[in-house]
This record gives sequence, C-alpha cells and structure tokens, in this order.
Amino acid sequence: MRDIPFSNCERDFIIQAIEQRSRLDGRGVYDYRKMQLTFGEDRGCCQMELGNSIVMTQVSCEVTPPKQTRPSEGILFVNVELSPMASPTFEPGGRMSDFGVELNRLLERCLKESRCVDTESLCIMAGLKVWTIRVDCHVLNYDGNLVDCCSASAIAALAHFRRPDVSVSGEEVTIHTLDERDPIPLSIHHMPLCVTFAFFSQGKYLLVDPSLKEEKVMDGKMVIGMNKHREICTLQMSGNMLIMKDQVLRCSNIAVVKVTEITELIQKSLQADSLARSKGQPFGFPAAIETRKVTANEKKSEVIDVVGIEEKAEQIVQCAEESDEERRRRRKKRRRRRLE
Amino acid sequence: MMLPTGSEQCQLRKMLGELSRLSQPDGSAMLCQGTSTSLAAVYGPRDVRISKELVDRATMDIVYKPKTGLPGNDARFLERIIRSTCENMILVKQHPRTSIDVIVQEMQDSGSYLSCCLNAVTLALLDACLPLKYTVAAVTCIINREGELHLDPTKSQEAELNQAHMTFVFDSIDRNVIACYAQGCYTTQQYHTCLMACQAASKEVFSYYREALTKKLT
Amino acid sequence: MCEVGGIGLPGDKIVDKETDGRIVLGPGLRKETEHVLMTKPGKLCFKDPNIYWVDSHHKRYIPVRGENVLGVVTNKSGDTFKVDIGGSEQASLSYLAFEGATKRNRPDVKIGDQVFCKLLVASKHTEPEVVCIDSSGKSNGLGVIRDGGMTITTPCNHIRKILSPDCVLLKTLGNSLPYEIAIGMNGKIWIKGRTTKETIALTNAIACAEYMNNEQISLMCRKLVNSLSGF
Repeated sequence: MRDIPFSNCERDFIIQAIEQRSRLDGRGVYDYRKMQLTFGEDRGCCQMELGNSIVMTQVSCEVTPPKQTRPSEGILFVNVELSPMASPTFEPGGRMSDFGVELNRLLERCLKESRCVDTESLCIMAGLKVWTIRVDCHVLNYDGNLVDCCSASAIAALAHFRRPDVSVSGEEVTIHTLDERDPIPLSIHHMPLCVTFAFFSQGKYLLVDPSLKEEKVMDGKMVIGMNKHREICTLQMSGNMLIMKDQVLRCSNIAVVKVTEITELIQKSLQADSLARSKGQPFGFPAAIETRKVTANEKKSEVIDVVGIEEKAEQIVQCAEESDEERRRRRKKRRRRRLE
Repeated sequence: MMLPTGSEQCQLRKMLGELSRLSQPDGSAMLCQGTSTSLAAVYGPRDVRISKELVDRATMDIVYKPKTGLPGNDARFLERIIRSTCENMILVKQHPRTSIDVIVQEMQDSGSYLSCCLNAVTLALLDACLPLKYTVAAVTCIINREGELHLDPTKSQEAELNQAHMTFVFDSIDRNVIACYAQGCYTTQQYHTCLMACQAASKEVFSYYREALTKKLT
Repeated sequence: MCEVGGIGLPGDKIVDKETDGRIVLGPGLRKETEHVLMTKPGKLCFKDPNIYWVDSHHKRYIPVRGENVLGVVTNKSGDTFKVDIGGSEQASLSYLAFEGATKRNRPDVKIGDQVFCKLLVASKHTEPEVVCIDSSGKSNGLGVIRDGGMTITTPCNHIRKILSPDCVLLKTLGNSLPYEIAIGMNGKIWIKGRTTKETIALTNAIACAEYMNNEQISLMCRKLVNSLSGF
C-alpha cells in the first residue's frame, strides 16, 4: 500500500530542529520515550510500548528432535511479524520485506548468538528429543525504533515464560501438565538489549530512540546490543554514512546507561506481575487499561434477565410444529384430490 | 431444567475496552471480555490494488493474526466469519473503488473468543467512523453436560465435555440474528432458548458500545 | 432513537423536530423506507430550517468539494501533478491551476513540495481534482508552501473544532506567540512560529488540544507560554 508521503518542509524542519538540539516531542537528545511493559495472562506473553510503538511477544514451546549438528541442545527460534495493522506500508501475509528480514536477523543475532538462553538445559534426551522455544514478535503499531522495542519485549517474554516439567524414565518421556507439577522458568544467563542511535548530517548529530519521522530523515543508524554487565552482544551499522571511532565509543557509553535503565524496568515489571499473580490481584491486559482515559471504558457484569425464556422457546417450537403439521395435512389433502 | 441456575451463569463477564489504541490505523479498539482480549484495527477507505478494485463497492480485506505460529485453518475460518459479518454491517457501496482493511490480533484467548473478536471489530469500525447499517453484538453460550445453559463461558468451561457451543450475532436495530455458529447436539427448543438468552444478553453489549462512544465523543 | 444534540450509533432512528416532513440529510444519515437512520456514530446536529447531519470523529479524510486541503506533490506526469491529500486516491493538480501560470510560464513545483489547495472535483466515482486559484484566477492564499514551518496530522474532527468560531485555541495561542498557519480540512496543519522551538511548542499545543474544552485550552496555553519564556 501507498505510504504517507513525507514533504520536504517536514524533512528540513526536523533537521533544523536537531541542529538546535531539540526534538519534535520535546525530548532531550539522549532520552527514550515513555516505556511500559505489560504481561498477559498466558506465561511468556509480553507487550512493550515505547511511545506509540507497540510490540507484543509470545513465547511458546514444543518437543522436537534436535539439530544433527548439536544433538544435546534445545532450539531457539525467533520470528518477527510485521502485522499489517502496524503501518499502512506493511503488506499482509506473503513474503517478508527487506525491513522485516533485517529486523528478524538482528533480533536473532541479539538473542541466539549472545547465548542468553541456556539451550543445553532444554535437552530432554540427547539426539532424540529437545525443547524448541519459539519467540513470536508481533509489531502492532509502528512509530519508529522497532529494534529496541522488539528486543526488550522478546527478552522480557523469555524471562516471563514457563515451560512444562518433564520426567524421563528409561526411554519414556512424560510431560507433566500444569496441574501436576509447577512449570519451570527458562534459565537465562543475561539480558541482551538493543539500543538504537540515529545519525544526521554525516554523523555530526546523534539521537537515541528515533521516532518514525526522525527515522525517515536520518542518514543511518547504529544498533548496539548490550547487557547490563557491559558486554556488547551485537553491533550493526546501516545507512549511508561514515562515523568516527570515538563516536562509536561514545555511543557504547550511552548504551550502558540505557541498558541498565531498561533492565531495571523489565525486572521491576516482572516482579510486579509475579506479585499480582501470587496475591490473586488482577493482572494481564485488562488490568493495564487505564479507565481514566476518554477512550477507555469499563462495564461491570450484570445479571441478565432470562425469566420466561424457556416457555417462550417452547411456544415457538410448538407453533413451528403445528404449522408443520398443518402443512403436512394440506399436502395430503391435495394429493388425495389429485388422485381422485 | 435448562435455564441457568446460578447468577454467575447468566451474566456476561466484565467488559473493558480502549478505543483508538493504536496511532497508525484509522480506527482501532482493544476489547477485554473477562480476560479474553483481542485487538482490532481498521484502515480505510484507502487506495486499493488495481487487481482487487471493484467499481461499485469497497473491497474488504480481513486478516487474523494468531499469537503463536503462522495462521492456519482456524485463522482462515475466523477471517471468513469476520468478513461475512463486516460485509453485512458496512455500507460498502458508499466507498466504491477503495479498500477497507480489518486486522485482528489475538491477545489472549480465555473463552468466548469468537464473540470477543467480533465485538472488538465492531468497536474498531465505530472508532474509524465507517458508514454502517447497524452495529452488531456477538454473544457465546454453551449447554453443558447436565443440559444447563452458560452464557459467556470461560476457556475451562469450554474445554469440558459440553453438549453444544453456540455463538449468535445480533444487529442493533431489531436485535435479529444475522449470524449463528453452533457446534454439538441440541434440540430445537434448546436452540431457541439459547438464542433468546443470548439475545437478552446482547443488550448489555450494545449498551457498552453506547457508553464507550458517548464517553469518547463528548 | 436519537434526538438532536445527543450521541447516536449507526442504526439509530432520528427523531424529527416539527418540520413539515421535508428534511435535508447531511453526512452520516441515510433514508430507509420511512425512517431516517444514522450510519456513523456521533452527535446529531440540526440547523434551521430543516438540515440534519452527524458530527463524527474520523481520522481518514474523505474529499469534499470546495474544501481547502494541504497536500504533498508525489509525482509529475504530463500536464498534471499528483497530490496526496490523505484520501483514498491521489488528487490531480493541473500546471495551469496556479496564479499567473501559462503554457510557457510553468509554476516552480517540485516533488515533495507542500501545496495548499482547494478541491474542485470530489466524487466517490472519480479522481479528485485540486486547484491553487479561485474562480477569478487569483491565488487567494493558496499555492506552494515554502520557507520553513512544520506540518502535523490530526484527526479531521479536530480540524473542524479548531476552525469553529467557538474555539479559542488559535486566538489564545496567537496572543503571545505570533505564527503563520495553513489548515487543511484533511487533517493537516502547517504552522510556522518565530523560532524552531516556538514552532515545536505550537504543534504540540494544537495536537494535545483534541479532547480539551475552552477552559482547559486557555489554561494549557498559559502554561505553555510561561514555560517557553522560562527558557
């Protein structure tokens, strides 16, 4: 579908504003937009909001045979879905766009190759049965900086996920249902998170967390994947630009601060969720809707008056049967007349 | 013998929703019925691919996105139900040579999911302000093994061995049935009882729509 | 049933005031047999002598003849420009529909330029056509918008609210922050203040006034001016 065109005047204005160190939404150069994490009722379901960008991730698992090359390791599979609801430019179904492939690959690198999930603990029987963990990231609304949003929601969902317990006796594998045994969390070594930097005017100006309009104007971007132990897991640069060595170092220093902040937020949200679950307080998506908003609304359940419905139904059925009977009688009469 | 005995059985779960949830689409709504949650977005009337263009009416495009894995037959089935309901509801002749796209995202399925999706789509269409003949409300009910009727069942109730599982869709003008999806074994009388109980319950859904829109528009 | 001034949903019948039975139906209404039904959710409005319409909230623009819109030139082909005005189809703009333009003297318009134009033809069956002149050939404020400023997109109902004579937003803002503005009915607003910072403040003020009433607007404007002068 056609994209909403971007006029020269908007382009010039944004660059002009950046040169004066101001941004359209009033943020500072190194500020993130408002972040919010919501966990669903199901384990491993996490929705991340970064300003207006919204990504929902669901983690699921199944038992499969392992890869030939790694017979004693589980499999982590990452899939990013650019849902057509997120932007008018995303096509429904079919093949992935270049943007989608880039995002998927980047996220795979961030999660799989940093070995943040202990895949060896996902082995049930070496060479025969392992757990495959599937991570589905659904982009629900696209307003820039999807990489950071996806990576945070994916790792939070992995940390929130519980897989069913299994027991092995000889050749036999039993998967216990949730009622039999408590499910087990994945063992996660560290939390790699991506931080995106957008560059303007040949790397002269940089911004953290670019919005959609800023992404349209930027020369290029650099994504740094890092955990809170200051270990860099991924680094990717794209676009038409050259940047100085010290600029890269500066970015990695900023990334340290941002990653610490986001990790803290994830941990806090995870704690709040488990607290609400154990105390029996409301949790999940309904609990996250603010009813104060003009656009939100709540309706308590009410008892529906069903008195007399059964009698009415009986009447209807009887009426229908009577008219059926009558029709049959009429038909018989007609047939007789014809025979005569 | 069939009527719901407890008050819990003959009520809909709490409804909670947010309109204009997403900034990009022309209209969107997130609706929670109990904990069943679905998110619907509407784009349109917007440009249409020439191969799909219809000269006298708008092209409808429905996409259903499940939470895990790729969309399979279940998703196709849901898309078809949503499409037929939407085509009934929207005045497609008012926007010829355009496309109206509806996208539904599964957020949480905990019972009566079909009705949750249809109600979320209706709210999204109202939010996008597309011309509609009427609004629709969907209500699900089950007849359990004892022959009792349950309105708006949860996932665990649905998973039990039930006699029948029915979803009715009603229009807002005369509250007539415009669609019905039923599974299982039931007598005519049971069917009519379910229908009327759902019809009575649909009033709640319509009044929810009205409250939500009144809150947004004033 | 929906009465004048009330909020109705699609499918609601409207209650006719004491007119002689002949009424004019505006947007959001349709006739079915003897009844008049609403097709869009919104506030039912009435204007003497017998006009009814529904004031609804929508984001997507549907072209209406005679409205001023703000579009972006996306393509040049032959004698026309293609202009995106946010509707379902791109509008066409002739080379000659500018002030002082002749076959020889073509206007200086590039792809990506923003134009403030008027809808000459708008029907659901044909491509919309826009012009940058009035019937006497004068530009009258229409034309290409250059030299700075920023464009924002808001829902169409917000534009109608801003332009209604009851709304104090533009006046209150203008009291302390002078600006230039072009408001398109398609939800696009071009605005230019004295400095970049002021322009950003103005765009945010307009965007966040959507669900505010007049009192809240004046309060917000006062706060904005205070914070701007505090820099």
